[in-house]
Amino acid sequence: MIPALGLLVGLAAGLFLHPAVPLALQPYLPIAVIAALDAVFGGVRAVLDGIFNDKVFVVSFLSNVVVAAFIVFLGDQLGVGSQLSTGVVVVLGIRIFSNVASIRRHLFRA
Amino acid sequence: MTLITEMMQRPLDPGYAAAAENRQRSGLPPATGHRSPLLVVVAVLIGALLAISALALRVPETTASSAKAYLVSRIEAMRAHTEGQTRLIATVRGEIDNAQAAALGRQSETLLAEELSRLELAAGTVPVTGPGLVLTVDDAAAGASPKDPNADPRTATGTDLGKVMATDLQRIVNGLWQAGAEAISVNGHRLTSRAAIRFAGAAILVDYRPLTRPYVVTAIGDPSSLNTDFATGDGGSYLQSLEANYKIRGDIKERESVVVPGEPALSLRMATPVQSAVTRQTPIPTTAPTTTAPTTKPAAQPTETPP
Repeated sequence: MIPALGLLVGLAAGLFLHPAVPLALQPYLPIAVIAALDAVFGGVRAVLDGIFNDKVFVVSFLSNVVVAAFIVFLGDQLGVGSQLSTGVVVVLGIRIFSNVASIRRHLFRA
Repeated sequence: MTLITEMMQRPLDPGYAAAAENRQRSGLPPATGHRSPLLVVVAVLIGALLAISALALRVPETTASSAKAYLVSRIEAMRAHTEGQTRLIATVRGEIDNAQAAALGRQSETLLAEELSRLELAAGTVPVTGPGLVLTVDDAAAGASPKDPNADPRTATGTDLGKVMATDLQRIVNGLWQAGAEAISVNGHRLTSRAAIRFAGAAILVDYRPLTRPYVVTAIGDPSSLNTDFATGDGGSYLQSLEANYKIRGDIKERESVVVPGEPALSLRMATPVQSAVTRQTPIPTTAPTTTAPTTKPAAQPTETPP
Protein backbone atom coordinates (compact mmCIF):
# COMPACT_ATOMS: atom_id res chain seq x y z
CA MET A 1 0.00 0.00 0.00
CA ILE A 2 2.81 2.38 0.83
CA PRO A 3 4.50 1.94 -2.56
CA ALA A 4 1.16 2.66 -4.24
CA LEU A 5 0.89 5.84 -2.18
CA GLY A 6 4.44 6.69 -3.19
CA LEU A 7 3.46 6.22 -6.81
CA LEU A 8 0.53 8.60 -6.39
CA VAL A 9 2.73 11.12 -4.61
CA GLY A 10 5.23 10.98 -7.44
CA LEU A 11 2.48 11.44 -10.01
CA ALA A 12 1.09 14.43 -8.16
CA ALA A 13 4.55 15.94 -7.75
CA GLY A 14 5.27 15.56 -11.44
CA LEU A 15 1.92 17.01 -12.40
CA PHE A 16 2.08 19.99 -10.11
CA LEU A 17 5.76 20.83 -10.19
CA HIS A 18 5.82 20.39 -13.90
CA PRO A 19 9.59 20.29 -14.28
CA ALA A 20 10.96 21.16 -17.68
CA VAL A 21 12.60 18.26 -19.44
CA PRO A 22 15.66 19.16 -21.50
CA LEU A 23 15.08 18.70 -25.19
CA ALA A 24 18.01 16.30 -25.48
CA LEU A 25 16.36 13.92 -22.98
CA GLN A 26 12.92 13.92 -24.52
CA PRO A 27 13.54 11.08 -26.98
CA TYR A 28 14.34 8.78 -24.03
CA LEU A 29 11.16 9.51 -22.12
CA PRO A 30 8.77 7.15 -23.91
CA ILE A 31 11.16 4.23 -23.65
CA ALA A 32 11.80 5.05 -20.00
CA VAL A 33 8.08 5.04 -19.34
CA ILE A 34 7.67 1.64 -20.99
CA ALA A 35 10.59 0.23 -19.01
CA ALA A 36 9.20 1.60 -15.77
CA LEU A 37 5.79 0.11 -16.50
CA ASP A 38 7.41 -3.22 -17.21
CA ALA A 39 9.21 -3.10 -13.86
CA VAL A 40 6.05 -2.04 -12.06
CA PHE A 41 3.92 -4.81 -13.51
CA GLY A 42 6.66 -7.31 -12.91
CA GLY A 43 6.78 -6.18 -9.29
CA VAL A 44 3.03 -6.43 -8.93
CA ARG A 45 3.05 -9.92 -10.35
CA ALA A 46 5.87 -10.91 -7.99
CA VAL A 47 3.85 -9.56 -5.10
CA LEU A 48 0.89 -11.66 -6.19
CA ASP A 49 3.16 -14.66 -6.69
CA GLY A 50 4.47 -14.13 -3.19
CA ILE A 51 8.08 -13.81 -4.25
CA PHE A 52 8.47 -10.03 -4.25
CA ASN A 53 11.91 -8.69 -3.49
CA ASP A 54 12.45 -4.96 -3.19
CA LYS A 55 16.09 -5.11 -4.23
CA VAL A 56 15.28 -7.09 -7.34
CA PHE A 57 12.48 -4.65 -8.14
CA VAL A 58 14.68 -1.55 -7.82
CA VAL A 59 17.53 -3.08 -9.76
CA SER A 60 15.24 -4.32 -12.52
CA PHE A 61 13.60 -0.91 -12.81
CA LEU A 62 16.89 0.99 -13.00
CA SER A 63 18.48 -1.48 -15.38
CA ASN A 64 15.40 -1.44 -17.61
CA VAL A 65 15.44 2.35 -17.84
CA VAL A 66 19.17 2.56 -18.39
CA VAL A 67 19.27 -0.18 -21.03
CA ALA A 68 16.26 1.29 -22.85
CA ALA A 69 17.82 4.73 -22.87
CA PHE A 70 21.10 3.29 -24.08
CA ILE A 71 19.38 1.43 -26.90
CA VAL A 72 17.59 4.58 -28.01
CA PHE A 73 20.81 6.56 -27.79
CA LEU A 74 22.63 3.95 -29.83
CA GLY A 75 19.86 3.89 -32.41
CA ASP A 76 19.98 7.67 -32.68
CA GLN A 77 23.71 7.55 -33.28
CA LEU A 78 23.28 4.85 -35.92
CA GLY A 79 20.36 6.58 -37.56
CA VAL A 80 17.87 3.82 -36.70
CA GLY A 81 16.59 5.32 -33.44
CA SER A 82 12.93 4.96 -34.29
CA GLN A 83 13.30 1.32 -35.35
CA LEU A 84 15.19 0.40 -32.19
CA SER A 85 12.64 2.25 -30.11
CA THR A 86 9.93 0.22 -31.80
CA GLY A 87 11.80 -2.97 -31.01
CA VAL A 88 12.18 -2.04 -27.37
CA VAL A 89 8.51 -1.10 -27.15
CA VAL A 90 7.51 -4.41 -28.72
CA VAL A 91 9.61 -6.53 -26.36
CA LEU A 92 8.64 -4.65 -23.24
CA GLY A 93 5.04 -4.48 -24.35
CA ILE A 94 4.88 -8.27 -24.70
CA ARG A 95 6.32 -8.60 -21.23
CA ILE A 96 3.86 -6.12 -19.84
CA PHE A 97 0.93 -7.93 -21.40
CA SER A 98 2.15 -11.29 -20.12
CA ASN A 99 2.58 -9.92 -16.61
CA VAL A 100 -0.80 -8.25 -16.77
CA ALA A 101 -2.34 -11.55 -17.88
CA SER A 102 -0.73 -13.30 -14.91
CA ILE A 103 -1.97 -10.56 -12.56
CA ARG A 104 -5.43 -10.94 -14.01
CA ARG A 105 -5.35 -14.69 -13.35
CA HIS A 106 -4.30 -14.03 -9.75
CA LEU A 107 -6.91 -11.39 -9.16
CA PHE A 108 -9.92 -12.74 -11.03
CA ARG A 109 -9.09 -16.40 -11.34
CA ALA A 110 -9.60 -16.12 -15.00
CA MET B 1 12.45 -18.09 -31.56
CA THR B 2 13.82 -19.27 -28.22
CA LEU B 3 13.99 -15.70 -27.12
CA ILE B 4 10.33 -15.13 -27.95
CA THR B 5 9.12 -18.38 -26.42
CA GLU B 6 11.08 -17.76 -23.25
CA MET B 7 9.72 -14.29 -23.08
CA MET B 8 6.19 -15.56 -23.57
CA GLN B 9 6.50 -18.48 -21.20
CA ARG B 10 8.30 -16.78 -18.40
CA PRO B 11 7.85 -13.04 -18.70
CA LEU B 12 8.63 -12.39 -15.06
CA ASP B 13 12.15 -11.41 -14.23
CA PRO B 14 13.91 -14.62 -13.12
CA GLY B 15 15.64 -12.57 -10.46
CA TYR B 16 12.49 -12.64 -8.34
CA ALA B 17 12.38 -16.45 -8.30
CA ALA B 18 16.09 -16.72 -7.56
CA ALA B 19 15.90 -14.18 -4.72
CA ALA B 20 12.84 -15.94 -3.27
CA GLU B 21 14.65 -19.28 -3.40
CA ASN B 22 17.67 -17.82 -1.59
CA ARG B 23 15.47 -16.34 1.08
CA GLN B 24 13.56 -19.61 1.54
CA ARG B 25 16.84 -21.49 1.83
CA SER B 26 17.97 -19.17 4.60
CA GLY B 27 14.68 -19.60 6.47
CA LEU B 28 13.05 -16.31 5.55
CA PRO B 29 9.68 -15.90 3.86
CA PRO B 30 10.02 -15.74 0.10
CA ALA B 31 8.61 -12.26 -0.19
CA THR B 32 10.05 -9.21 1.43
CA GLY B 33 7.94 -6.49 2.90
CA HIS B 34 6.54 -3.62 0.88
CA ARG B 35 7.68 -0.92 3.25
CA SER B 36 11.34 -0.52 2.57
CA PRO B 37 12.37 3.13 2.03
CA LEU B 38 14.11 2.20 -1.19
CA LEU B 39 10.89 0.83 -2.59
CA VAL B 40 8.99 3.95 -1.63
CA VAL B 41 11.62 6.17 -3.20
CA VAL B 42 11.54 4.15 -6.40
CA ALA B 43 7.74 4.24 -6.40
CA VAL B 44 7.79 8.06 -6.10
CA LEU B 45 10.40 8.16 -8.82
CA ILE B 46 8.28 6.04 -11.14
CA GLY B 47 5.21 8.15 -10.51
CA ALA B 48 7.14 11.34 -11.19
CA LEU B 49 8.60 9.79 -14.32
CA LEU B 50 5.17 8.88 -15.63
CA ALA B 51 3.72 12.30 -14.94
CA ILE B 52 6.69 14.17 -16.32
CA SER B 53 6.77 12.03 -19.42
CA ALA B 54 3.10 12.49 -20.03
CA LEU B 55 3.35 16.22 -19.65
CA ALA B 56 6.57 16.62 -21.58
CA LEU B 57 5.47 14.46 -24.45
CA ARG B 58 1.94 15.71 -24.62
CA VAL B 59 2.59 19.45 -24.56
CA PRO B 60 4.85 19.67 -27.60
CA GLU B 61 2.42 17.50 -29.47
CA THR B 62 -0.45 19.84 -28.76
CA THR B 63 1.56 22.90 -29.67
CA ALA B 64 2.70 21.20 -32.83
CA SER B 65 -0.81 20.12 -33.68
CA SER B 66 -2.19 23.56 -32.92
CA ALA B 67 0.48 25.10 -35.09
CA LYS B 68 -0.34 22.59 -37.76
CA ALA B 69 -4.03 23.36 -37.52
CA TYR B 70 -3.23 27.04 -37.68
CA LEU B 71 -1.11 26.49 -40.75
CA VAL B 72 -3.81 24.41 -42.36
CA SER B 73 -6.35 27.13 -41.74
CA ARG B 74 -3.93 29.69 -43.12
CA ILE B 75 -3.39 27.57 -46.19
CA GLU B 76 -7.09 27.16 -46.76
CA ALA B 77 -7.74 30.85 -46.22
CA MET B 78 -4.95 31.81 -48.56
CA ARG B 79 -6.14 29.34 -51.14
CA ALA B 80 -9.60 30.83 -51.02
CA HIS B 81 -8.04 34.27 -51.22
CA THR B 82 -6.05 33.21 -54.25
CA GLU B 83 -9.11 31.86 -55.96
CA GLY B 84 -10.94 35.09 -55.28
CA GLN B 85 -8.05 37.11 -56.62
CA THR B 86 -7.89 34.92 -59.70
CA ARG B 87 -11.53 35.52 -60.40
CA LEU B 88 -10.97 39.23 -59.81
CA ILE B 89 -8.07 39.19 -62.23
CA ALA B 90 -10.21 37.52 -64.84
CA THR B 91 -12.99 40.05 -64.52
CA VAL B 92 -10.62 43.00 -64.43
CA ARG B 93 -8.79 41.68 -67.45
CA GLY B 94 -12.07 41.48 -69.29
CA GLU B 95 -12.81 45.07 -68.31
CA ILE B 96 -9.35 46.11 -69.46
CA ASP B 97 -9.90 44.45 -72.79
CA ASN B 98 -13.21 46.19 -73.24
CA ALA B 99 -11.80 49.55 -72.18
CA GLN B 100 -8.79 49.08 -74.41
CA ALA B 101 -10.96 48.29 -77.38
CA ALA B 102 -13.12 51.30 -76.67
CA ALA B 103 -10.14 53.60 -76.16
CA LEU B 104 -8.48 52.35 -79.29
CA GLY B 105 -11.63 52.89 -81.26
CA ARG B 106 -11.81 56.43 -79.93
CA GLN B 107 -8.15 57.38 -80.07
CA SER B 108 -6.94 55.47 -83.06
CA GLU B 109 -7.49 58.43 -85.31
CA THR B 110 -5.54 60.90 -83.22
CA LEU B 111 -2.80 58.40 -82.50
CA LEU B 112 -2.47 57.56 -86.12
CA ALA B 113 -2.46 61.23 -86.96
CA GLU B 114 0.39 61.84 -84.52
CA GLU B 115 2.35 58.96 -85.91
CA LEU B 116 1.61 60.17 -89.37
CA SER B 117 2.79 63.69 -88.71
CA ARG B 118 5.98 62.44 -87.14
CA LEU B 119 6.72 60.20 -90.08
CA GLU B 120 5.82 62.92 -92.52
CA LEU B 121 8.31 65.19 -90.86
CA ALA B 122 11.01 62.56 -91.18
CA ALA B 123 10.09 61.66 -94.72
CA GLY B 124 10.00 65.23 -95.90
CA THR B 125 6.42 65.38 -97.07
CA VAL B 126 5.47 68.37 -94.94
CA PRO B 127 7.03 71.83 -94.81
CA VAL B 128 9.50 72.42 -92.05
CA THR B 129 10.95 75.59 -90.65
CA GLY B 130 13.92 76.48 -88.57
CA PRO B 131 17.22 78.34 -88.59
CA GLY B 132 19.45 77.68 -91.54
CA LEU B 133 21.30 78.89 -94.56
CA VAL B 134 20.13 80.32 -97.85
CA LEU B 135 22.68 79.68 -100.53
CA THR B 136 22.15 81.36 -103.85
CA VAL B 137 24.07 80.21 -106.90
CA ASP B 138 23.72 81.91 -110.21
CA ASP B 139 25.35 81.78 -113.60
CA ALA B 140 28.27 83.99 -114.31
CA ALA B 141 27.49 87.41 -115.58
CA ALA B 142 27.49 87.80 -119.29
CA GLY B 143 30.98 88.14 -120.74
CA ALA B 144 32.68 86.91 -117.59
CA SER B 145 33.80 83.61 -119.04
CA PRO B 146 36.87 82.02 -117.57
CA LYS B 147 40.23 82.56 -119.20
CA ASP B 148 41.60 79.05 -119.12
CA PRO B 149 39.02 76.48 -120.09
CA ASN B 150 41.58 73.73 -120.47
CA ALA B 151 42.10 73.40 -116.77
CA ASP B 152 38.39 72.98 -116.24
CA PRO B 153 37.11 69.46 -115.51
CA ARG B 154 33.74 70.40 -116.89
CA THR B 155 34.88 71.17 -120.40
CA ALA B 156 33.63 67.80 -121.57
CA THR B 157 30.09 69.07 -121.35
CA GLY B 158 30.83 71.54 -124.04
CA THR B 159 28.44 74.16 -122.78
CA ASP B 160 28.87 77.64 -121.47
CA LEU B 161 31.44 77.41 -118.75
CA GLY B 162 29.85 80.20 -116.78
CA LYS B 163 26.62 78.29 -116.26
CA VAL B 164 25.77 76.43 -113.14
CA MET B 165 25.52 72.73 -113.83
CA ALA B 166 23.83 69.84 -112.12
CA THR B 167 27.16 68.59 -110.85
CA ASP B 168 27.74 71.92 -109.15
CA LEU B 169 24.45 71.75 -107.40
CA GLN B 170 25.03 68.12 -106.45
CA ARG B 171 28.35 68.95 -104.87
CA ILE B 172 26.96 71.94 -103.07
CA VAL B 173 24.01 69.98 -101.75
CA ASN B 174 26.22 67.10 -100.73
CA GLY B 175 28.43 69.54 -98.91
CA LEU B 176 25.41 70.88 -97.09
CA TRP B 177 24.32 67.37 -96.10
CA GLN B 178 27.84 66.70 -94.97
CA ALA B 179 27.81 69.87 -92.90
CA GLY B 180 24.79 68.63 -91.02
CA ALA B 181 21.80 70.06 -92.84
CA GLU B 182 18.55 68.49 -91.79
CA ALA B 183 16.34 69.52 -94.67
CA ILE B 184 17.30 71.00 -98.01
CA SER B 185 15.26 72.42 -100.83
CA VAL B 186 16.40 73.77 -104.15
CA ASN B 187 14.23 76.48 -105.58
CA GLY B 188 11.42 75.32 -103.38
CA HIS B 189 11.77 71.68 -104.26
CA ARG B 190 12.36 69.50 -101.24
CA LEU B 191 15.17 67.04 -101.51
CA THR B 192 13.56 63.87 -100.27
CA SER B 193 14.75 60.32 -100.42
CA ARG B 194 13.65 60.14 -104.04
CA ALA B 195 14.87 63.54 -105.22
CA ALA B 196 17.68 63.57 -107.73
CA ILE B 197 19.60 66.48 -109.16
CA ARG B 198 19.98 65.79 -112.83
CA PHE B 199 21.01 67.54 -115.95
CA ALA B 200 18.67 67.32 -118.87
CA GLY B 201 19.69 69.28 -121.89
CA ALA B 202 20.33 72.80 -120.78
CA ALA B 203 18.18 72.60 -117.66
CA ILE B 204 18.88 71.35 -114.20
CA LEU B 205 16.24 68.99 -112.93
CA VAL B 206 15.58 68.58 -109.25
CA ASP B 207 13.13 65.86 -108.48
CA TYR B 208 12.28 65.68 -112.19
CA ARG B 209 11.28 69.31 -112.28
CA PRO B 210 13.31 71.81 -114.23
CA LEU B 211 14.78 74.79 -112.45
CA THR B 212 15.59 78.22 -113.61
CA ARG B 213 18.33 80.43 -112.34
CA PRO B 214 19.12 81.66 -109.81
CA TYR B 215 19.33 78.48 -107.85
CA VAL B 216 18.36 79.06 -104.27
CA VAL B 217 19.40 76.26 -101.94
CA THR B 218 17.72 76.45 -98.56
CA ALA B 219 19.14 74.27 -95.79
CA ILE B 220 17.91 73.96 -92.23
CA GLY B 221 20.48 73.42 -89.52
CA ASP B 222 22.50 75.30 -86.97
CA PRO B 223 23.43 78.34 -89.11
CA SER B 224 26.89 79.03 -87.78
CA SER B 225 28.14 75.46 -87.62
CA LEU B 226 26.46 74.68 -90.92
CA ASN B 227 28.15 77.67 -92.54
CA THR B 228 31.55 76.84 -91.11
CA ASP B 229 31.42 73.15 -91.88
CA PHE B 230 30.19 73.82 -95.37
CA ALA B 231 32.90 76.39 -96.04
CA THR B 232 35.65 74.09 -94.80
CA GLY B 233 34.23 71.02 -96.49
CA ASP B 234 34.15 69.82 -100.06
CA GLY B 235 31.11 71.82 -101.06
CA GLY B 236 32.53 75.10 -99.82
CA SER B 237 35.86 74.68 -101.51
CA TYR B 238 34.11 73.62 -104.68
CA LEU B 239 31.91 76.67 -104.59
CA GLN B 240 34.96 78.84 -104.01
CA SER B 241 36.72 77.30 -106.96
CA LEU B 242 33.60 77.86 -109.05
CA GLU B 243 33.55 81.46 -108.03
CA ALA B 244 37.25 81.90 -108.64
CA ASN B 245 37.51 80.06 -111.92
CA TYR B 246 34.18 80.55 -113.63
CA LYS B 247 32.84 83.66 -112.06
CA ILE B 248 29.81 81.77 -110.93
CA ARG B 249 28.10 83.82 -108.32
CA GLY B 250 27.58 82.22 -104.97
CA ASP B 251 26.09 83.79 -101.91
CA ILE B 252 25.58 82.30 -98.46
CA LYS B 253 23.33 83.94 -95.92
CA GLU B 254 22.52 82.78 -92.41
CA ARG B 255 18.89 83.16 -91.53
CA GLU B 256 17.10 82.88 -88.23
CA SER B 257 14.16 81.16 -89.83
CA VAL B 258 13.86 79.57 -93.18
CA VAL B 259 11.09 77.44 -94.59
CA VAL B 260 11.77 74.25 -96.48
CA PRO B 261 8.64 73.13 -98.23
CA GLY B 262 7.49 69.58 -98.27
CA GLU B 263 7.34 67.17 -101.13
CA PRO B 264 3.76 66.05 -101.35
CA ALA B 265 4.11 63.65 -104.25
CA LEU B 266 6.43 61.28 -102.46
CA SER B 267 4.90 57.91 -103.09
CA LEU B 268 6.31 54.44 -103.22
CA ARG B 269 4.53 51.99 -105.44
CA MET B 270 6.71 48.91 -105.37
CA ALA B 271 8.55 49.22 -102.07
CA THR B 272 6.84 47.62 -99.14
CA PRO B 273 8.01 47.71 -95.54
CA VAL B 274 10.11 44.88 -94.23
CA GLN B 275 8.28 43.07 -91.45
CA SER B 276 10.79 43.74 -88.73
CA ALA B 277 10.41 44.99 -85.23
CA VAL B 278 11.27 48.51 -86.27
CA THR B 279 9.05 48.90 -89.28
CA ARG B 280 6.18 46.66 -88.34
CA GLN B 281 4.12 49.42 -86.83
CA THR B 282 4.78 52.00 -89.52
CA PRO B 283 3.48 50.99 -92.91
CA ILE B 284 3.46 54.64 -93.79
CA PRO B 285 5.34 55.20 -97.07
CA THR B 286 2.43 54.32 -99.26
CA THR B 287 -0.20 56.03 -97.19
CA ALA B 288 1.48 59.19 -96.01
CA PRO B 289 1.66 61.15 -99.26
CA THR B 290 -1.85 60.37 -100.27
CA THR B 291 -3.29 61.39 -96.93
CA THR B 292 -1.30 64.55 -96.60
CA ALA B 293 -1.19 65.67 -100.20
CA PRO B 294 -4.02 68.20 -99.97
CA THR B 295 -2.70 69.93 -96.88
CA THR B 296 0.97 70.17 -97.58
CA LYS B 297 1.09 71.86 -100.90
CA PRO B 298 4.31 73.83 -100.88
CA ALA B 299 3.63 77.45 -100.41
CA ALA B 300 6.89 78.86 -101.63
CA GLN B 301 7.79 77.81 -105.11
CA PRO B 302 9.51 80.83 -106.51
CA THR B 303 10.83 79.28 -109.67
CA GLU B 304 8.40 76.73 -110.90
CA THR B 305 8.34 77.66 -114.50
CA PRO B 306 10.55 75.62 -116.74
CA PRO B 307 13.00 77.39 -118.91
